[in-house]
Amino acid sequence: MTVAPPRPTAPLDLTRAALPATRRWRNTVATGGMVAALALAAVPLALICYQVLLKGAGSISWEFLTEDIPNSARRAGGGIAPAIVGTLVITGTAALLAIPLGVLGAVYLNEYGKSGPLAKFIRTMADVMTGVPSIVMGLFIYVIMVIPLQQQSGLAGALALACLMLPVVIRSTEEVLRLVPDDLRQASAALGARRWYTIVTVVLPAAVSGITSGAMLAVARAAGETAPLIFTTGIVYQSNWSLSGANTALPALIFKNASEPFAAANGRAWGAAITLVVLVLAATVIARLISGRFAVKDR
Amino acid sequence: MNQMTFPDHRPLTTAPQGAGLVPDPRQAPAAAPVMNLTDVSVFYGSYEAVRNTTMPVHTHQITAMIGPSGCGKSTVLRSLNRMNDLIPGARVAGGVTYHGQDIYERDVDPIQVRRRIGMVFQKPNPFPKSIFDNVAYGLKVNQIRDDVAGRVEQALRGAALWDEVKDKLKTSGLALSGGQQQRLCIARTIAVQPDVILMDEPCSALDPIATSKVEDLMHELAGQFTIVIVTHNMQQAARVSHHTAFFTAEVDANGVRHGRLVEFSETGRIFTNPVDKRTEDYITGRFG
Repeated sequence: MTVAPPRPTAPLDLTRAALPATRRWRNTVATGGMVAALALAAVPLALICYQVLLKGAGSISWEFLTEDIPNSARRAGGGIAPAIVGTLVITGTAALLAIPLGVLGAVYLNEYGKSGPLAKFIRTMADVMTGVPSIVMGLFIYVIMVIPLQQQSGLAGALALACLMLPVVIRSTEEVLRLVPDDLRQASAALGARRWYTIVTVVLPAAVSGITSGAMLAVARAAGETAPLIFTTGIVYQSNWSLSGANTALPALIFKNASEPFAAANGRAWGAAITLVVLVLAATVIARLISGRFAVKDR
Repeated sequence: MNQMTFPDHRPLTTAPQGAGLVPDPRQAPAAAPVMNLTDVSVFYGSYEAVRNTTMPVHTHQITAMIGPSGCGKSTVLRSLNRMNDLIPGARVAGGVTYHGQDIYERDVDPIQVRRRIGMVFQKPNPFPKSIFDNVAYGLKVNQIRDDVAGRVEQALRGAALWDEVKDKLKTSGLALSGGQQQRLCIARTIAVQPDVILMDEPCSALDPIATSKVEDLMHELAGQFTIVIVTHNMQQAARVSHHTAFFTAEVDANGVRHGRLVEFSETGRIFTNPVDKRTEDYITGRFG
């Protein structure tokens, strides 16, 4: 014989009001706190976008995007084309150098080295490199490349930016690879696949979306850097599509023009700021579209 | 007054009721066993997880490994196709032969072993790829390029999944239900036509309906493949297998736990007339 559960004596009250008051206000306070934190975090972001658009939108025109930089910052007119070209060439080259190297490094750390002494050493060095100020990277390339060759160049700038991006790519990619379930590696191994084949056909495709995020974060950071480029690329007023020879970039142009007292220079800096934000946004969107073609949907 | 319906008052043993549930070995193991384990011990670092296992795996039959948690049955199963190689520090002592050849010999490539001895895992683990690509993956690995579509269809039919997925081969394998995912994993395994299929608790994450589908499937596959299955479910072992190995966990003089094979015999014998007291206690649900 089973014992019947005790019959409730009062009518059941399942409304929120029946919960103890402390539980109710704690929930309210916690929810309110989270909303407030989100709002606070969004304020500077919104203000930056607003300010950049407000001050810079006026200077954007076809001529602004396509003409050479005037030799004198105080002169109105002219454009910022050489800086756009420089940013594309230098950041693009840096990404081509750092992303494949960084992803392969992360594959070594997570799939082969694991917790071996060499992997631990590389991991620590990558962490240390993440903390190295960007100007130190610039100085490093200046000393080992620009001084011996007696030549500033886009390539030198790209190398400095690549040094900056590499540890970010390695560490973010490794974190993403760690999230790929081991079940998948085992399933592949049980079918007779070698390790490299499993990595190329199963592990990397499963992680491609996260790898792209990490890589684009690194690209965005590098695209906005001024310090590593000061010694390494120099300054030019005409577009230079090649990696050799001095070059310039948008952050450097912003730095130079924003520190001038002239209205024309300041307007040019704001316009360049918008251009830089839009370029980084466009690069991110394009990378997402490309990785979306490789990524596998869950549904 | 309600007419009480009395539940089945048979004791809650897990032994099969009546000999009818015990499958007769459809063919006597006349041929030499496809695999042989001789004094196999598996170590994780210095810890000996399983000691001295000696048993055969008979061709085109289903061999079940049963026993309590931590008795090393999965560990032994994984030593049969060198999956333990993937665990750092794991080491196998003793002899595991496949068609007479020791698979742990120095010049044996584990890839070659795993191409012939496939594995289905406890948790369904389809790749995050389409249903078609999941099944075709093993073919690609093994560089089989002729009639891929036909082989995929054949494997999905073999895994009793074709009718459910034939119109959505392009959708992700992860969109299937748990039972379908497990049959997809079986299809993926049989697509490369292995010789032996190892199944590590293949039904423990499935509901009873999906379980019975997978069990029916095992019966069908046994005609073509040799199957070794690890299971927690003794009725399942009784239902599907021809031979059963009972493992248990022992504590040695130093207080260290390790797994040990207690008894290996025909399934009917293990469940109706076990030789060892520990086997009898386990299958009748009496412990200690």
